[in-house]
Amino acid sequence: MTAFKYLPLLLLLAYGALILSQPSSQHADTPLGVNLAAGTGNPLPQFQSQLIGNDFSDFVHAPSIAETQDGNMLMVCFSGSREGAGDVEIIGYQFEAAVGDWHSLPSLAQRDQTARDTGRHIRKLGNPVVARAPDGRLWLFYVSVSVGGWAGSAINARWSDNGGHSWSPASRLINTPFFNISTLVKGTPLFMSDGAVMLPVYQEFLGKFSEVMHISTTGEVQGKGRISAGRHSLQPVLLPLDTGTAALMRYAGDPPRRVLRADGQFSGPWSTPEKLQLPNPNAAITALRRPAGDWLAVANNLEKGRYELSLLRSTDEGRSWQEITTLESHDWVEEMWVPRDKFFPQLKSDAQREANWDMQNWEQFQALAEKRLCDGERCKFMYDYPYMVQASDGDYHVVYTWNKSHIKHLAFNEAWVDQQVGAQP
Amino acid sequence: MILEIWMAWAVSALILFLLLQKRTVKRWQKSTLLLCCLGLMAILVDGLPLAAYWRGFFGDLSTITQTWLLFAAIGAFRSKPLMAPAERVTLAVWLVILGALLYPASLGLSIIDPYQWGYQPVWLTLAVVVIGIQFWWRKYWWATLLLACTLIDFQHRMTESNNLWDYLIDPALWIYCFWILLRSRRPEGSAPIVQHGG
Repeated sequence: MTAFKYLPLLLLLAYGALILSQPSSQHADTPLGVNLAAGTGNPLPQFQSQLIGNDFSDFVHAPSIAETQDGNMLMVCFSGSREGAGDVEIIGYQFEAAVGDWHSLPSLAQRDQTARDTGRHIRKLGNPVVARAPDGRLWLFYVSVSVGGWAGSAINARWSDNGGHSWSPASRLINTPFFNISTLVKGTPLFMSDGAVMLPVYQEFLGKFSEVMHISTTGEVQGKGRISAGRHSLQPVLLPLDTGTAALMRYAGDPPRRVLRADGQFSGPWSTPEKLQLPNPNAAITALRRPAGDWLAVANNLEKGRYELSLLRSTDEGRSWQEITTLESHDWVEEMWVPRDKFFPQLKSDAQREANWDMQNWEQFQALAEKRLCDGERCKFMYDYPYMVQASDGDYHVVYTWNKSHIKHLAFNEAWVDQQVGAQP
Repeated sequence: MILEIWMAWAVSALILFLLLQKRTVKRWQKSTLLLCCLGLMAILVDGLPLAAYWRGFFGDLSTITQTWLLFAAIGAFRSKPLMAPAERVTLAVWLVILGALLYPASLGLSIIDPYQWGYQPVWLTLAVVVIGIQFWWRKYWWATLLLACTLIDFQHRMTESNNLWDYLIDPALWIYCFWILLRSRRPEGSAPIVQHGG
């Protein structure tokens, strides 16, 4: 009995000393920036747009894009019969420069595979984010839910060292003490000088607030920082400052609805988020820093609805923004809901211009659009969830959900951006 | 991951066993019940054991919960709990305090997130050691052993988490500790506190 009396104390002291004697894993607080040594590119303005994929029957959403080591672009998004359905998978498309078109890849993550890899029941999958680390490794982060709605989300990680042809088993990232639920991902990760990943995430359980996770090169969560608290700030986008980092956030509160901005260090402290002048209809934004130092953003420059998508520029580190062009808009649409009889002719015209599928399928597409975009006699255009990166050749790539049926890809170069900036009064 | 699914299997079976074992008297009955619970949680449904569905909902429970369940199961076989009521209540008080410090703030109530302190847990480890020494001083050997197991599990990363908080406490344990405290405040003459509770 005497031995047992001392054993717990000895174990407690020994392991306490062992844990305390370990060196803390300090991480670099300097992001490498969002651009991978971006080149200058073609001096002539270039702009291309394309709907990715031919099949509109599945609901596709939350696209993300990254450049692979061989210089191709990889787009990932989730796809299924509807958002939150059990058949949703994380799918990928790769741009083949030689052919000048996107081709689909085998599914990148499925419900069953995630359940097997993580040893737990998985009910549905959600937002993915793909990013390339400085060492060439592709990281795929994606949301899964075991119980309930999106408030029950957790993040899983996979990586690929061969340009996305094969992926590691999924591992679960633990980010909250409350059954590890309620963490989602949307924004572009930043990579630090030591190779660590700074992944912007947000929570949607009791509160709606933004955080950043510090993930080691081996995929272990090493720490986290809280960007905001409360119930109104979501889907942070991180941008490197000369000292520290800024975060732009989607606003989920009462009017006036404006983009939120905070700055600080990854592990904190962060400044109290302030409302900018830039409107935000409770919708995701994307932004990055150009090599020249100014910032570009793609956002719904509206207080309500997602029927327009704009390219914006800031020269004061995101405090004020100027719209330099609209990427999606219709002259006659001035509010979220429009009459059904005007909506469908416009949608057909847009689809004819954009889609690379046979217009004989129009009636099938119209029936799906009716379910996804209409409420009785009124319908709405939706261009949302933008995601933007700059490739090593200097070109910008933007992907977003086009009317809940396709992912649209835009590619433009520095000269085109300069042209748009120069065209401003 | 293999180890974690085995742990989820054992934990879910132990909880089921402890919920049902009050209806049994003899050891062979308890043993049979425990084997049945272990067998039940291993049944495959759509290619996954039932324990994986349990794990999908609750995740990995803390070391204290897992070890306490083991203590409770041993207590059930001995027909006498390992931990004395006062020891159990003292442990519950500390866990309720720790949970009150952790959960509201980590769920977004404030910009300060105590969960961050669990990743490189200098101060949290010191707190666990100090609380453990206090337990030992009061001759609460089993409670001291629970805290020691927490540090051992964390050091060897026995779950997916790199955060000491996840080895110390989980929401189910927090609620259970509240329940222990409520039961301990019952007036004299009412039912005794938590039979076979460890």
